[in-house]
Amino acid sequence: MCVSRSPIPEAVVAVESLTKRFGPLTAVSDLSFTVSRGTVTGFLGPNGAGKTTTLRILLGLAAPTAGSALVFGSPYRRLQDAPQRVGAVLEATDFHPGRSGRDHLRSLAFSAGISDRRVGEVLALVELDEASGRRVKGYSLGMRQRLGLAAALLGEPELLVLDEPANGLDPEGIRWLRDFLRTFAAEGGSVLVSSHVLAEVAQTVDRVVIINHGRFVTEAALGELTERSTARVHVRSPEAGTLLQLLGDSGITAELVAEGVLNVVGAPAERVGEIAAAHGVVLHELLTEESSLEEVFLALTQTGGEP
Amino acid sequence: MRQIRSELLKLRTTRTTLGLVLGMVALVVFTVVIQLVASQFEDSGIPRIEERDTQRTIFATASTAGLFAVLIGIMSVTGEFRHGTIRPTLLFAPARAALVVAKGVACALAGGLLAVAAVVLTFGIARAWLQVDDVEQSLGRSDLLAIAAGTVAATVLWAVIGVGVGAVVRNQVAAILATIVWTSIPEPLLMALVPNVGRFAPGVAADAVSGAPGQEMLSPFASAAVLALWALAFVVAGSVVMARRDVP
Repeated sequence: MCVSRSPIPEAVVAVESLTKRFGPLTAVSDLSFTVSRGTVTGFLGPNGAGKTTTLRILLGLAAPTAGSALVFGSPYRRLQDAPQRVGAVLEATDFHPGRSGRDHLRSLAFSAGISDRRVGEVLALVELDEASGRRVKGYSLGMRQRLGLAAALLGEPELLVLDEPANGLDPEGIRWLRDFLRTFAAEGGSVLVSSHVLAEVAQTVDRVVIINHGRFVTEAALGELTERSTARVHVRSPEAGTLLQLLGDSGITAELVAEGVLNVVGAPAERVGEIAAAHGVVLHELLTEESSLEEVFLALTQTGGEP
Repeated sequence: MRQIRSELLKLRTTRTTLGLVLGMVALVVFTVVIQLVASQFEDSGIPRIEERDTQRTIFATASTAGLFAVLIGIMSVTGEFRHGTIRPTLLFAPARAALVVAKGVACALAGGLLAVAAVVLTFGIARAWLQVDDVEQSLGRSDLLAIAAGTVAATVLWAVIGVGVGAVVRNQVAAILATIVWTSIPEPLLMALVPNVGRFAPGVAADAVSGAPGQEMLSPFASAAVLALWALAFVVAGSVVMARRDVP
């Protein structure tokens, strides 16, 4: 992808104290985050968290109630040659059903002074050249997703903004998208991709920004998020009651979850084993259970961002 | 310029425009023939075909193009909201007022072509009919030219008005209904009750520009100026609303 090295701050996206209200409803509240050049950033949160609203403001479709959302240091609507710098897909269904895929792209290309040759290139890139003459009405959801992506790529942008691009894609489509975004980033492009399922983008993104109820929850490299996952120690013992008491004395949180079964949080298995041994408690099972990335995400979005 | 090219492509690449053209052709042919047949009867209460006003009404049927032009204008904006293409459109052309103007220009061109087709059709059928029936044509060359030019002007302005209405209303059905209802009920009523005000209404002004006979209307030139002001007002209103309101 063509990446211009302009003397612009490293943040290609800068959202600052962004607030958006629709009447009495606050969709986004005092939200701040940035996307650095050359990274793939996942923008995560449950449905209704305010992701789409934030992206609409970022792309100049909606105006902020307060705060700002800038691309390359400028509001989208004032960005010079915007289609050549930012490519975006907000909805997978934004086509006239009676117009062919190629004509859809040509109409957009015309308005940004992009050549017909480039239209052919992006169609080939998303593997739609054969279907391009057909009316969009007959396209599958996967084909529409790719046509949307083709439109976003028309201007050879350096930043891609995609809202829930994996929605409705089959596993093969998701893999295709992942490889595509990885290649795009490897060639120097930056990506901001939203999703309500961390697993969909976990293999694609370098960083995540998590929001909930329109508020910032956390921002972290994907690795940091994994580290935050709290391991749980599963203990089975005929003397579970005694062990619970002993752990409590050592200031370790544990819970009797079933007859003879304890769940211990906040202490490694080694420590639990040592305490048991020191007091001669018999253990039948001692097991560390890592919580998955998805569980971390769910835990964060269930507790975080509450007003 | 680029945006105008894009808008013209959009008009050409769906079946909507084709459908509207065919609809117009059918309606023009039907209306012209019905009027010609009806004016054969002396006792029908309708002025007879020899009369100047009858012939004027028949030739002015070409102004039917205005209805289809306003639909093209409305749908060029509301269609984008209906199908969501407004999002990619605005991502590629973030200057919203310029988008409304470009749509206005593209639809004006389409409206012009529509009007020419309607004039050719109407004049062709009517003149052939009069000739075959051996009826004296009471409208001179300059009258016909005035009707033709007026029809083209009114149709072009209707298309522009449609774009403005579409940009203000956004909802396709609401915009179309509002336009059709407004021109068919309150306007004629206003003209009948308070002609001093009614003659400035867009539908009445457009009729006067297209050369339809009628009492108390402004002159075709004054009416053209009034209609042009309406078109300007709608485009300005559409541009302002477009620039300010959030896009879903």
